[in-house]
Amino acid sequence: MTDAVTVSALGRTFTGPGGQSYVALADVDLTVERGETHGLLGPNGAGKTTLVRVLSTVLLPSSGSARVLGHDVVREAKAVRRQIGIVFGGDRGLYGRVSARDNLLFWASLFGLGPRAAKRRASELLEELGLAERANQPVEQYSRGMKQRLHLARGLIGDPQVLFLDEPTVGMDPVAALEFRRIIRDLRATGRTIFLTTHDMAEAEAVCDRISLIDGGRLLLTERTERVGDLLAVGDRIDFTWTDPALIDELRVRADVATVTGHGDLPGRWRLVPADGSSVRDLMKVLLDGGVTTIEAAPPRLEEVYLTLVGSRGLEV
Amino acid sequence: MTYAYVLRRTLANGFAELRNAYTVRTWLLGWMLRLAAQVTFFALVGRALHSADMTRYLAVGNAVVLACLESTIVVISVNDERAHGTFSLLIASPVGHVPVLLARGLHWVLTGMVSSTVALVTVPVLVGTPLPWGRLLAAIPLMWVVSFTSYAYGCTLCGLVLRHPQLDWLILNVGYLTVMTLGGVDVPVSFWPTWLSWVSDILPVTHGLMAVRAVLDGGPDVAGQLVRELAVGAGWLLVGVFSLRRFTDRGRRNGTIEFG
Repeated sequence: MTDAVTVSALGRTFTGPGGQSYVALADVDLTVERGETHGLLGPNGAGKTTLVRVLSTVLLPSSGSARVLGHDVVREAKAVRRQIGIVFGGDRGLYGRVSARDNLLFWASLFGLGPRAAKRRASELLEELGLAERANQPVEQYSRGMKQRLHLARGLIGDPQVLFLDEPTVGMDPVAALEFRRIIRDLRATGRTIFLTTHDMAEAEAVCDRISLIDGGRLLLTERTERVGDLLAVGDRIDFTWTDPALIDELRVRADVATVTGHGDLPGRWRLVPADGSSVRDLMKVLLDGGVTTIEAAPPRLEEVYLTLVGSRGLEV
Repeated sequence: MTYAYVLRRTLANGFAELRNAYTVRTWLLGWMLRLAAQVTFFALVGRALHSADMTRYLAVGNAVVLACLESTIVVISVNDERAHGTFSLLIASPVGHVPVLLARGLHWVLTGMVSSTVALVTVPVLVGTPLPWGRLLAAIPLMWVVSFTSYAYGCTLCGLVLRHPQLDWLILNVGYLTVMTLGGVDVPVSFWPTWLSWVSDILPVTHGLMAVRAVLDGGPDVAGQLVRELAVGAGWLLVGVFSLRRFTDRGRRNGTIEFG
């Protein structure tokens, strides 16, 4: 079966006002399988949105090629447009003075739905996304979270096979963002391919099957979310709680310990990174013998991989 | 079917926008009154010159040009698509942006038809040069044609506004004032040098207004002027479609179409 997205040696260069050009995408190769939720993670200006613009046919590539469900985004743009939905984050992309229902009916007409089919589809989506009760209110009266659900409904109105979510939870409060992630997970169950750009690592970890890291227009890696930590070529970290500095000092001079650093916002929370080849189990025993009772061993998280590969630019955890 | 529904939904959006901008009361006592005052002001110049013919000429010309004034507001509505961040979504939709943008300001055509009709019916009476009812009723549909041909002209201006969104009101006003100046509204087209009268010939309003005046005055060549007005409108519509397509093609190439 054809992959949902195939990007091959894709490049995009922009020319600035002074005539100087800069590279937004350089030699990007990427494949997204059908039914996959794929996260494209990177700092601001990394090239995430540029890639989505190309894939959604709004921007032409400077070099290379991109296909969506087997259709070339340049030569077969119309075929691509019939298969995709686009969801923005923020307030833009909706008609604020128009009701949610009328917004959806309008976009349904642009996907070729007739009046009856449009009404049925709009009502279904409004119901599914919890907007039915306020469907006839102007969108400008909606909360940020409601607007985002409407964005998603708009993106789904044409029943797309591939859904592009461009930083969908930007500016949302944590509760609304969590709710939105639950909706995305539910969507995954429908078999759609979801391509999500974000610089929120918690979001990427929560909903994505695979993750690609991009920076400076170059794709740094693509890996299954649960295996991203393996890329640091180190074992589990040990997080523990302890307030006596003597034990910390003792740990820091051990040969089988790489680092012991403060971790998280609370005082007394530490993260121990074992030295290469050393045993997590042995170190945990040392901690237990030292009187530590709150211990957790876990593989490196996406956050650490990101910090290692990209640095702290645009970091938002 | 698809395009008819797109048209209907785009019109619905336009009227929702209109309802947010005006209530019936504010439209009548604010906007309509302002337009009637404009027509009356120019008609009173004729009264000041003690010429009933001039008064009637100015009242009719300025009432008809209201149809153009309102229809060309489409440039603001189309520019709003960029402000709302919906422009790229239109481009990426299967139907595409052109049908929507062409229908985006049709509600202004309808309000322009109402405004110009109210002005043509009332202002000549107010300034003491009432028009014969029978001829007035025959002239009104011709004026409505001017609303549509002016709209086509507005669609061409949209192409400019999309390229220079910060100049939307300037482009609207220069576009409208060009028609008002050269279209035979306040002075006959023959007043202008030949090369400027050529410009008049390709502007909306010019021939439609001549047709309106011919009906009201019992003059000849109503049908000929109407056909010319329709041809001018069709020409502007073609230029408008070309301009909107070209803007998008260039935008996809050079990356000037905002995303979100």
